[in-house]
Amino acid sequence: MWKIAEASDGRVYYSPMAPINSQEALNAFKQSRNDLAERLRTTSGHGARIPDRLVPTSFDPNDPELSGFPRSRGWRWGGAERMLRTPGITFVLMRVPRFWQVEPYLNAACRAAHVPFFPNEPENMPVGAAALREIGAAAVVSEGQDALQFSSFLAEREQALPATWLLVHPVDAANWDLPVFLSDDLLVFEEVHLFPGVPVLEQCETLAQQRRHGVFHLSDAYTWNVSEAPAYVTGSKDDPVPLEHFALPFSVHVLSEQCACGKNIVQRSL
Amino acid sequence: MMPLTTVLSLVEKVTDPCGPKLYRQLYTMAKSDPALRISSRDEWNALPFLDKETLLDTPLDERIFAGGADVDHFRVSSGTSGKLPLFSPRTYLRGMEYRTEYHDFKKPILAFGVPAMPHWHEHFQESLGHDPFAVVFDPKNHAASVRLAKIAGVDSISTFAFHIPILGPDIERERIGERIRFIELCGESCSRALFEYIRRVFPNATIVPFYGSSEVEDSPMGVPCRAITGEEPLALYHAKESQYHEIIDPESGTVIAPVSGAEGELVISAYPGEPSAFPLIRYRTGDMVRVIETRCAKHDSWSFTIIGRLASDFLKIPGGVLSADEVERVLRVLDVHVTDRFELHRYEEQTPSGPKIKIELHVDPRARGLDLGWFAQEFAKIFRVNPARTYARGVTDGLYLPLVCRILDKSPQGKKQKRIITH
Repeated sequence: MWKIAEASDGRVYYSPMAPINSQEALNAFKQSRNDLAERLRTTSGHGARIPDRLVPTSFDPNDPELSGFPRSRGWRWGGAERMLRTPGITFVLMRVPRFWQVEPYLNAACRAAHVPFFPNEPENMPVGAAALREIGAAAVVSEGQDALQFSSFLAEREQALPATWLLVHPVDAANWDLPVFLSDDLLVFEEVHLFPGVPVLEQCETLAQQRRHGVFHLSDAYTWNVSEAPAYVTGSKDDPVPLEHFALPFSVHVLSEQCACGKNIVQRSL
Repeated sequence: MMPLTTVLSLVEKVTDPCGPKLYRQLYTMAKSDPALRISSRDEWNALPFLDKETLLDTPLDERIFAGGADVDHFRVSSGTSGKLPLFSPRTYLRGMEYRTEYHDFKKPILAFGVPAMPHWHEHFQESLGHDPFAVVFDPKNHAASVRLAKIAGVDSISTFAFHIPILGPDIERERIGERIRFIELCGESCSRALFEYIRRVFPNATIVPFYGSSEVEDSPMGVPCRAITGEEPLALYHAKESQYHEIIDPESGTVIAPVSGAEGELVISAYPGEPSAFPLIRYRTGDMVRVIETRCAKHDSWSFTIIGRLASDFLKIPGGVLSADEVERVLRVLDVHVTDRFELHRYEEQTPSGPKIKIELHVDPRARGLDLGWFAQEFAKIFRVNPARTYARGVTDGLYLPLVCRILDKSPQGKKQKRIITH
């Protein structure tokens, strides 16, 4: 059992899953990150072409190796757009750290859906809760740990949770659990991001509506090698700095069933 | 500045019986009354003012004048006197072309969400025919933000004035200060100490002030007449073309003629054009201004500088607000040692990492010999500047200097005593 977080009333939330990152997979992931960092150092620097956009290469802002991963300006956050197709959303509550650099992408998705958004500092939960009461029916964009803490905060105050969530799991998180308060009454779209704003595993509307926690589709943006352990991804040549046989810190296996959307369904290997 | 005749016609628009109720309620109109048409200055001067208290008492759906599809985002500002925060709808910022006088915006910009959202900065760059690229500044993770800014090749910054001493050391560490050619400052006025700090860390930057408000959709409320160059007053503004400005006596509400030297509270009416989520009619900003030129030669309207806030029970500080109510609450928690009478004084001190706010709390001890240093520490541990931060935590985070306590001067004062005083 892994302790996830402790609520202000002393309740402690645990993950029932065993840790699923083998040391070998983690080592391969670190090597891939180091290789990418070297390639980024070569392509950036004084006089180099200004990239289209950048996202950080780590979810940890204090990572001494943190660099910027170039993203195409034209990239669209498909997961956010899918979430916003849910009827009845009045606004989007953005609760991911600003340094993730995903605000322009989220705003583009919101503009396409004609839905306003409100950026809420994750630690300022009272303002987030007030926004939900004041503005209307919200969809929340959040990250695993924050979703647990914020949903707990709302539940402790007996405030109804928003009906729709987009939950981002960092690729190297110890687990990808669904916070206990995000019950089957709620519609939760889950994604796994390699870096902030770089989804590698996604859910379509069917998986989300079926409340299929922990199963995903492989992102179409990459070519996948899932027969090896760990899984590897290779980016498109259209990417500013394509990923090259990049090791992820986990393995996946393809389930025998196929999704109604036509795509294969994968699950993280234990 | 918008002609009065245009503003008069705006009154009819915002009092449409089919529209939001905010102004109809403010003007005590009956349900059956048609939209209000006024045609004279006297009728205009008789209109009640709009203020933040009224906004706080009005549900959001009764003060949004645009459809949801036209609202881009919401802003939040602190409530007053313990009330809930105020959420304000925003469409796209307009009337910002003046910025091109100072910078070309060809390269990426490091931008916080205020005064403008990062995506707005990208929209602005696109409107100039440039590639859009805003690096989002995160004050909680400022070092990471500045590192990304360096990689991106940022040459401009737009953020709160109080963020500058936060990101300044990161800029120096990354050695990109000389690259920065444009800095847009919002929030509190740029002090002389901050100006000197910026000159040192960003020697090549043109510094342009931004005077706006979360409640005002058509921000900025004042277009800068010039960059901040060290010439006093540091920040000088005039009205945007989409706004009508007045100065009033804050006590009587009487309109004051905007001639050089006049001082009073700034009242604005603003309409950026359709779509507009919140047209403003005679909104009391709470800012005291002084008219500098009756007619600015460059912009053909009166120019003003901000001299402070009205006597207020709130003071914004980095990462939060100092509230008189909260000060009283904590003093009552500690009432074994002090009464609940106080004065809170705000100063600015130059430090190696830039100017920082210093707060002095003047208290009224119940007995002689109170250890003011100890009391200041105890107070700071309990005193909240926002729901998630105490004053002590803000000091640890480097946002401001440690609290200092002094003995309250109890000599009688002529006017109503201010509890929060900015120096």
